[in-house]
Amino acid sequence: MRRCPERTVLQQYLDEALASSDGDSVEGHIEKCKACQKLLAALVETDTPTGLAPKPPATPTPEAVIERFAALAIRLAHAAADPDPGAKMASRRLGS
Amino acid sequence: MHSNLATSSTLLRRLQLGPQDSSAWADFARRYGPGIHQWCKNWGLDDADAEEFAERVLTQLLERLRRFEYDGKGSFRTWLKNVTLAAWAKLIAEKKPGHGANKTARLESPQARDDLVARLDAEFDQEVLGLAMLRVSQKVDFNTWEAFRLLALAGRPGWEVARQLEMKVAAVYLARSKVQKLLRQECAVLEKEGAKK
Repeated sequence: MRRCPERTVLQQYLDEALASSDGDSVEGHIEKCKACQKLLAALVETDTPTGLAPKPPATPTPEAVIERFAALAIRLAHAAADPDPGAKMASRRLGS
Repeated sequence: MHSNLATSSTLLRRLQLGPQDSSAWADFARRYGPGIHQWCKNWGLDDADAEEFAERVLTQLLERLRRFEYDGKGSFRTWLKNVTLAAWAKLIAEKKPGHGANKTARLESPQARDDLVARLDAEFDQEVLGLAMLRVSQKVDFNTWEAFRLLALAGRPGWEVARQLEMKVAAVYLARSKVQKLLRQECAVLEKEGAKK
């Protein structure tokens, strides 16, 4: 393939919608053509899922603070599972 | 079951399946807490106040996530949004007049509310994407994953990745494209898990 393939052909290549021989010739052309490499890169880039390269916050939350949040969540989970441990102990004592 | 769930399901799914699973609660706080903390700081609270207010938001969120029965009709994303809005409204309603009340004034604006929802939504995107990446990395061959990783995550140029992996330049872009399609499929599956069919 001497001439650069159309943009739609490159998209078909990425969608694996080309016949095997056509795919091979597109690959062969792209190997030598910087312009097509650039276009192929751009086509793939526009198809990138949201949030693939998130920017980290300027000042990340310190690890110690994050662990305090986790400890709080564990306390809440335990409180939810056993809302009144005192009452349970009292009823156990009464039952014995 | 829990250790498998921890690496294969969203935290909201884990909380839905095991409301008493304290490790899911802790993981939820570790993942979503920093976003809430940053939100507090962005809307004018200093370090100490931001930490305290973030804990109050987290407490409200977790209590509501536990109480709100997920009906399986909407997406987890919608559930998270509704719970966030309810938690924010409760905190604003609870506000006591007097010393310190001015500190949180900016957090009460509709813009701040929408920002909080957007931050948690973005964190949910990140969580779903991370799980999808784990699933897809186990489905494709080494070179396909590496081509994707080096191009999309490490930002390396195509010719360099092709040389490193001994692949054609077009093939490395094809590999990235394949992985991205699979990621989108997995994200859709993860978002629907738990919803009634």
